Amino acid sequence: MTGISRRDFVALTAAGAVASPFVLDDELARAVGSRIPNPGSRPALTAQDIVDRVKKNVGVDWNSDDVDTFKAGDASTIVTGVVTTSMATLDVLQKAVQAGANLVITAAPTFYSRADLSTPAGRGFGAGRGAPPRGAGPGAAPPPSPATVSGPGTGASSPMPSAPALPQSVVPPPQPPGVATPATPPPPDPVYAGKNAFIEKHKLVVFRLTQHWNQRRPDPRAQGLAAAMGWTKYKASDDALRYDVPGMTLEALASQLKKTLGTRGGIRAIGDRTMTIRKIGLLPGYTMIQASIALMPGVDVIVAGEVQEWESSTYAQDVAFAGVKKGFISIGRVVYEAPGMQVCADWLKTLVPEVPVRFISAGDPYWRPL
Amino acid sequence: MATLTAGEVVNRIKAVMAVQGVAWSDATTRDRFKFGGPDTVVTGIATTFMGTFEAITRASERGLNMIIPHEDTYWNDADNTLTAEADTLVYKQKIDFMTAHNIVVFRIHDHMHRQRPDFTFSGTAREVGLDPSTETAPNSHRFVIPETTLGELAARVKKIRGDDAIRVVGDPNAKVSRVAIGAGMATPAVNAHDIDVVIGGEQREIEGTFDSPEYVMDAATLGVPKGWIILGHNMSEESGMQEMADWLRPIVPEVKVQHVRAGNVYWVPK
Repeated sequence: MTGISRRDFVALTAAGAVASPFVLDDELARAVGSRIPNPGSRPALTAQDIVDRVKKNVGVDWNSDDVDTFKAGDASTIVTGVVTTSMATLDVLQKAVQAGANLVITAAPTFYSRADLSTPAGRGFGAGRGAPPRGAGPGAAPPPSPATVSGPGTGASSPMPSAPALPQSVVPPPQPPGVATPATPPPPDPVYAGKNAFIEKHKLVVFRLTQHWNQRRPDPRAQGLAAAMGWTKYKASDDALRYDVPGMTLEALASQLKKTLGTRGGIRAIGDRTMTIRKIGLLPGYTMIQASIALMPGVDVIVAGEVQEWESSTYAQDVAFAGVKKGFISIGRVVYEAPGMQVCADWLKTLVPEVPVRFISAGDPYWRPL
Repeated sequence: MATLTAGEVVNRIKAVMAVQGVAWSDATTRDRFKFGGPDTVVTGIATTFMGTFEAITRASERGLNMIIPHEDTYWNDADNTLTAEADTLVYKQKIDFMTAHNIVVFRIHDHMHRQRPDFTFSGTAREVGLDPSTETAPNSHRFVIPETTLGELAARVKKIRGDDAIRVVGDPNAKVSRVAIGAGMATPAVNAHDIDVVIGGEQREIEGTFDSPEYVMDAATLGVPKGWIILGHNMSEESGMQEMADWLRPIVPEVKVQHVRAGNVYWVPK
């Protein structure tokens, strides 16, 4: 059972992209204050106090990592209100301030990378570069392939036969695209500067909570998505990743997801639009091909967060081309974090009753051209 | 007509690339045979973005049995078939089709990106309607266009490209003129101070080395003109396989060489 209110969720996610979703007025602040054990004096609950409670109660071992940490502000700040969010965009931070909150707990990074550095250390990275190595993450190198044969059953593709003797090249080898060295240093990055200034001005504290939160079982993102969609009663597996719903077309399902989750351009689908969907499988967050291959046979459609196009998308495309009645819908990773952080807000309300806790969605980053 | 084998085709590709300044390296796991081998007799060649079942089928229907995809065939970058064999829905059917139709697949990825121009970039520029004469320098992948808004530029790209699944981040009213082109995952970060808009293929949404979507959202909030137009990996690199077909044709005059599209990936709901 989840405490999420479908109506509230819809209202908040829909509002996330366009308007301030809530304002914490004085009356509400007093009502919240009246519930605290020591009325009359505001409890001095710091951001660190709240994070300590999270660590103690999250239900999974707290491994020291560099992801679920404070990203901005002073941990000793007295907290006036907590906002959970899918992503701590400047827009979300502004809405948090309007609501009287000064601690933001975010699923996604605040400063534009996994490293989450508040200064543009990686500035200009990628601009004008050639094809980078790719894979699971930075520095991922293609695995060595000792196989000498190709095709099915080999686990690898074959190396090329040795190259024939070639004429000496008469053309100089291509140089990496020129990275112009500017005569003067580039101006300070206005986006980092603007975000940092807002955080400083309002004495905000930002904490990232994702690795540990998403290890909870059932997966809070799946639990929250099902609650938002009204599927909780159709749950078909203990892990909350499968739902047996009344039959509908793939197109109708995609449209329902779009409307209910408040997505704009981020939702995309593969498969026969007219096929009937009854069994839904969820793949929250970022997943690789192995997850899609394992889940697809037992369901009619996968609702995924983010996948790489050369993996699960192409797999779903091949399955559909072969005439197998299976669908695949990608809603985006940021959008998928939202229901999980709504669940997080509901949980935090019980954990830190001294201060108001609300969820604010970052919305769908993407729109579609006209 | 003399018999042309897949191995001979590949040897000619390596030789011509070397003459053009791209020495072949066997270190990559990407640019290798993925199905069939060098002894397969070639009836015709299809270049395509990805070794999809659709591309292979359409090529075979045209009498082309050598597939040269830019990307993988078995749904993972290393083309590890053990990963694909776990699938029970389509893998066997795809393999059986390739066996029955004497298909040979040789991937061209890493070496193609080392060519100048890199066809994946020049193809994208062509297909989104960027005038090559507006490129700031040869192979800079940067273009200066007459000032427009992000919304108008995105609408133009969508109209020319003809795909609904294009995704955009940023303020539609942002004034933009300096465009950087990306291909596939080589989509440049959007935070360079002298770029307004990136038109690219694919990037991690969050937790990459640089998360452009969030940066552009914050730029929009601050009124800093930035835009991020994501075509999709397929759409950003398929176009360059037309240029690759044109490059291959004079090298293998014995057989026909055609560009066969790997097929649309996504549709979008109303």
